[in-house]
Amino acid sequence: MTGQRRTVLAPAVLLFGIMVAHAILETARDALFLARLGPERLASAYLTIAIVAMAAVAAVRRWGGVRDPRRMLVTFLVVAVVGTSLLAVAIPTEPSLVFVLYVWTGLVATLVVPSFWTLIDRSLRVTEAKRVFAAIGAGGVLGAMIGSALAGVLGRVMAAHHLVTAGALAFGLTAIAAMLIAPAPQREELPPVRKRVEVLSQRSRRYVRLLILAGIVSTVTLTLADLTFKRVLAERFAAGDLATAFGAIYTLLNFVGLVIQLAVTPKLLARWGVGNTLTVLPILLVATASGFALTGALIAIILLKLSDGGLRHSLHRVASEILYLPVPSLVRDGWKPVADAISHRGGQAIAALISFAIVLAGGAQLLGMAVAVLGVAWLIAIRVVKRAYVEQFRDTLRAGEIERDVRAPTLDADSTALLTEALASPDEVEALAALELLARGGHVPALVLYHPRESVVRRALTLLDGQPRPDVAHVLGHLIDHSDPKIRAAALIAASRTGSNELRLEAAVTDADPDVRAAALIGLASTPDHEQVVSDGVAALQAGSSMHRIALAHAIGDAPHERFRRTLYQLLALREPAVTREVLRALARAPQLAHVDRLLPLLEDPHVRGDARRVFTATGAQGLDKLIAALDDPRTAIGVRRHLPRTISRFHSPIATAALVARLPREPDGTTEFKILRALGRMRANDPSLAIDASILHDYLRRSIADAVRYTMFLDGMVAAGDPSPGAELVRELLREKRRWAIEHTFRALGILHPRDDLRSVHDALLGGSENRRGAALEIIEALLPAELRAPLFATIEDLTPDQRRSRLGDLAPGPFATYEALLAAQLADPSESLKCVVAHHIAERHLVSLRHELSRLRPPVGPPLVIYAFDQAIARLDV
Amino acid sequence: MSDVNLLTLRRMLRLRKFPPFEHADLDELATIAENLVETTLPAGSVIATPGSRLRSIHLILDGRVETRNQSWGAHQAYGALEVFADREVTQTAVAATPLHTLQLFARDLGEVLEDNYGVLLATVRELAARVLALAPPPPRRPAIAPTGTLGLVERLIVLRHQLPFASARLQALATLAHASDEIVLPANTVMTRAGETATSAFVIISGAAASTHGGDTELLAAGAPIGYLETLANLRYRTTIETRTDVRALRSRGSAILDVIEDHTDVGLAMLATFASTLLDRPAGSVAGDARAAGHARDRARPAVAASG
Repeated sequence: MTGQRRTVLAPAVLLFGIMVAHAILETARDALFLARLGPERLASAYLTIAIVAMAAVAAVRRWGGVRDPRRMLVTFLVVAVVGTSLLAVAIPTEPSLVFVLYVWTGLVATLVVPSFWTLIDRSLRVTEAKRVFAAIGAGGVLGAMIGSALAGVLGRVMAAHHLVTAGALAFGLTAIAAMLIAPAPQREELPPVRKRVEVLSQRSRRYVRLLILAGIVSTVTLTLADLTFKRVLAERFAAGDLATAFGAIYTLLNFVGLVIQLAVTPKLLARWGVGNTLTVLPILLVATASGFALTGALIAIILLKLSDGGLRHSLHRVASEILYLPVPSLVRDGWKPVADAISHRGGQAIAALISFAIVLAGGAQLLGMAVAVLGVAWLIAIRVVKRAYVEQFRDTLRAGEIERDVRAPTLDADSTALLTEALASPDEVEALAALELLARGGHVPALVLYHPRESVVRRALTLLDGQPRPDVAHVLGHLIDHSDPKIRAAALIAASRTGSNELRLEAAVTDADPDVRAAALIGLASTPDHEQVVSDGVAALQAGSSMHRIALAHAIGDAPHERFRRTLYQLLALREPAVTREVLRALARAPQLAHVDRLLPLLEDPHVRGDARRVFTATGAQGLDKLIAALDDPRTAIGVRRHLPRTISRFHSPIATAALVARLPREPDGTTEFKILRALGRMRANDPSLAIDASILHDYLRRSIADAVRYTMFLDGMVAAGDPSPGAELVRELLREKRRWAIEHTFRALGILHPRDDLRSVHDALLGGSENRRGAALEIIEALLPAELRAPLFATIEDLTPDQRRSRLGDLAPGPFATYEALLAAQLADPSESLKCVVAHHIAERHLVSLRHELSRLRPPVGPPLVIYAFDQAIARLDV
Repeated sequence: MSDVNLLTLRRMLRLRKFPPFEHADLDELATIAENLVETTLPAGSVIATPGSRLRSIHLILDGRVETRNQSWGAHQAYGALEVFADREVTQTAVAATPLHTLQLFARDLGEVLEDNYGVLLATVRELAARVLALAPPPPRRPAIAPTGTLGLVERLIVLRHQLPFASARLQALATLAHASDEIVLPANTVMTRAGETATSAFVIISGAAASTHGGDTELLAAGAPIGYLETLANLRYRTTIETRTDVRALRSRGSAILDVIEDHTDVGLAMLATFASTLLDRPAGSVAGDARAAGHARDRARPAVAASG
């Protein structure tokens, strides 16, 4: 037996057995109950079942443990055999035990069926489940159908109480089958240590509570529908004919259910997803129950039962079971039996109470009205569950992820105390780290300026920006005589802001240290009496070594002034990175001095890029306009262009977002395009309320998926060709990367459209090795992408044969290519420059002269020299 | 403030003492801190046995880890090379004293570095400096026949033959190949000068050059890489290299290499794996103190300006 068959067949056989036994027992109990006790006591029976079932589940949870769902199933089946056998013996002698039989049948169903599904949930992943649940469920529907038919036949030839013995026998055979073929549960793949696992468990419990609520609403609705139907039926049939009538009706319903299970359920699940599939039954119930309530027509109640019987154990059951799959087994194993008992039996109890009230107030039509109203409530519950279902998968993915984009904690009294204590540490690194954290919160204490480590004091001085606080100004007075020239310089600059240390500044102009000199000169710049001294001193520093220029730029940065604008740009023109950084620091503090045109080229240099970005951000709208214009200007150097998106993204404004979105489909450079995607992703992640033009992104999404499709098909073709040459291997390697790249683009675009959905995790899970995470990712994508985009995307990701892929993609797939040359020619025409070059190289390597014409035809007249050269080089090699 | 935040702050303060986190942005540091698991082990605990794979890197806060011929103390990371290289441990490692560590799980490492470019770059630089401190590996065979101008494919092949790019993806290399330029230098041209900040890396395509360091001179032929590790480690050139004949070379600027690492973090991760493998495969004699040697090399050779992101 193949793995796939075993996955389906063994559970299907087991469920078949369970449902045969249950259907026989159900027919026996309904017939005996309605014949001996009458329909008016049905509600009492439901209430009793609810109480007994919940007590039993609680007892199992408390004393039984739920560590091995397989063992649990076998145990429950054995209990079912023993209990049913005892009842089979006792009922003929004690007719009042019919009520006990009714309750027992409900109790067995409450314990056995959920434990079966718990085991199956543990042995399958969501992707498999959606594929095979319908087939497994078909085993159950077939079992119910055969069980009902068998009960109908047996009901004709023997008394109804003998059916109980048949039920016990069927349970016995199923118990043996379970011992032999029940699948073993799989282990969960959740990481062992992860804070989010606990969060996931908490959220999962909330989700299960939501499922219970939705389950109760659905059970109340279905039970009332069933009661309505049975009430009408009891009025139309003689008591003695009820067993045969129920047998025949259930057989018909189960046949309809089987057809739906096999022909409709898998398709609906694949096309509509779980959430939408779940709405089918309540919609039909609302329609038919309303019809019956308004008209009292028999056809309406028949259609109602047809919908219920045809869909409840097929479509509805399968979709409902899938809802439990995102719940980690840690939570699911313990909670599912409880959830099933509460939602099923609790729902029945509530339905019984409602039916008591309704029967007192009116007849079956009023019951029909209640069904219609509850059906609407059920639809609302499904809508809520649908959202929570996808959210569960997101939580599952997050539980296996690292914590991303964490921000340094904001400071309060406790944390400030902790950091202040660390600041006093003689350990320089620790003190500096504490200082940085305190500075970010604006809490640099004046006392740090007394720190024994000079590096700490220096750093503190640079962090004390603007007008010093009174406590800081007081301490600065002591530092002007510090032995460390950098501290002296920083103290002079800081003190100059108070305007009370002119004499000290004058004295420092002749200091031997350039830092101190520069600080003094800049400090004196605001006093008209020292204009000449300042001019001469600044000129001397400019003409000195790079150390002098760094000192000058640093001092200007500490006290930027319009007067030094020219000096700053003269320093900038020297293109000394260390000096440039100091100049940029000054411009960031005084953006009114910034000349954005002259700053643009600096984005190319990684040593100063960050500082240049800070200046652009500080210049506000003026800087943003310049950056947007540069991004749209084809003359902008590629080295600069590639750093524009991230720089623009620093503005976090709708204008910045709109500019990047507008540029995305028009950007010819692949790297810049990727950086636009990244920048937009970051902006929307930080602020999901930033508006974007979704239509542009949807178009881009389509384009990216088309790219992924094209590269996948090219790759399939290259793999099928099996060319062992190094060039062909290079082409295949590049195609693999291009496919991956296109898929990443797709997910980045999706992430921009849905910034709260953590598409990064979804992407990683889809391409990763964990089947659990991959299944979760597929479910999330299903909720985000329409079917026409989803299908081709999945076709590129899934492990399919080339023929399967082509048939799934239809017209979207390029080709088929009649020859290897045709395949290479198609790649030569691809927009990717790298692919063109590698394919041209491969054509020359294989000396495929038949493609010379294509090389000449497709050689780009303008563009990157390397690409043109690749064509020329290949043509030349073919001509040899 | 919650205890969780205080814990994060405490960890951030301790992490700063580890070289790769020395200059990390505060938010990056917070991200790393949040993804660590604090562990205490009694003296004598076995941390790894030969043939096993480490589940995590141990960032040692207090205590000491020892193997037969190496030990790691506070503010050092045990297991980093094995995890980067995805290699098995070759020697039993035990806690020589009570041990307090922060564990960074191997399965999280790639993602953590991918998301925190500053830390990734610092780690690449750290390992590049350590590789540089080793005896240089034997020159690799010339990647291509030195005839004609290099096309994109030839550039890809040349770059792939360089140690830092040995496992890099083609897309990333294609970007670097486009950003590189083929230069022709006449004989007696200085390509690099010892002590100058390394801003470009070269591969000789044809011709010959001489590398002079102290009194030693070494001849460099086609295929020889020049300055890759120095450029990546943000150090100064160690030797002066002067062309002996006309030399054709492929030059990649440091800024272009950094851009590629930033845009294709997989290149950075692949570099870490390659460097870690190189360090693990080093001769036994060079085991002890190579990090210290690299540290000294860095101190001597650190240029004044670092990249600003």
